[in-house]
Amino acid sequence: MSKKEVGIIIPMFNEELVIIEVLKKLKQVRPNDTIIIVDDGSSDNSYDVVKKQTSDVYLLKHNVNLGQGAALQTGIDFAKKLNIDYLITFDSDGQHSPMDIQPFVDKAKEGDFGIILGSRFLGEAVNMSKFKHYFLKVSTYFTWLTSGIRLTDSHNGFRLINLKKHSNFEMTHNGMSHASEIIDLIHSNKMTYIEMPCTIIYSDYSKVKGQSMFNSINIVLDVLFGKVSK
Amino acid sequence: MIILKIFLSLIVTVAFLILAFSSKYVYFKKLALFFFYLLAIFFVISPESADILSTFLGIKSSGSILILYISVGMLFLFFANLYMHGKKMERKFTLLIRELAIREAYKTEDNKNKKDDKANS
Repeated sequence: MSKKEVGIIIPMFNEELVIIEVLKKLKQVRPNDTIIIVDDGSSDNSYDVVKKQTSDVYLLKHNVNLGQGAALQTGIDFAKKLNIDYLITFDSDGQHSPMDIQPFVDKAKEGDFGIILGSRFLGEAVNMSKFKHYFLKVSTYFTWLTSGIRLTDSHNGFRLINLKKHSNFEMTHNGMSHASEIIDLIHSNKMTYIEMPCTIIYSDYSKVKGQSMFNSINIVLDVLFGKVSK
Repeated sequence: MIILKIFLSLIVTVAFLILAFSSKYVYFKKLALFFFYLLAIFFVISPESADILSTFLGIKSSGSILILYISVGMLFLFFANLYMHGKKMERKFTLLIRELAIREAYKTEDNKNKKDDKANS
């Protein structure tokens, strides 16, 4: 098996309408990367759509819905088996731009960073509402408070993980709080990190599909409970 | 007096957090439950001792209020234990599903190859 340097994980949950389009765009820009799709127990036909309409994509399936964090970790475990060095986490709803991947990979090689986090505030956030802007700013302060790491953007799905350097990278939060957990992991695994601009495109579709801001209450509680129960 | 109260409530909070959320000290947890069980029986047999104890602790109404306080604390402990148990089960369940997903990983190219094989044969 030829070793591929860059892997892209796409956690997928009920995305039958857009996933093929997202994959097509991704393949156009990144034809040589390993693509790993983790279907997180979708209740629609996402799994079959990908299975029938794509080629050269690894497809994994959770038999029940566990959450985005769990799906990502399944993809990471699988990527370790494939000996992938640099792993990109990519959203399945078309929010992220495939053009952002190359600068992340270049930067990781150049600076030997453990993790590179995408930031929509350094880059471009197309069609983001004002309220969401301030809301996300507040969430970065919460992250700063709980982890001691100050970032410009905390809950952004676009990142690069250097598996060559951190083969023990493991998340345990199944839900959306994994984004905060990653920042804790940076601290506990002493990973070198940097933020880089990335583009987030807020389409009408992704606005509906994306997590509601009320879910942040869940995230805050998960983070706090996670801290006490260690 | 207020300092003593804060101090006592801090001790109770810390003890509660340790008992509720730590996976260690399982024996302490069981011991605590057993102790409260004995206490409950003791209060049933001699209710007036609850009155004496509550006057000693400075609760101005009857001893049944003291029992109420203790029960609420115990219920919280139960709830927290249950919550942690649920979390642990979820973790195990996740690992199981993950293992299954990785075992049954599927490369969509295989699909085409199989078709080609069939066409060739």
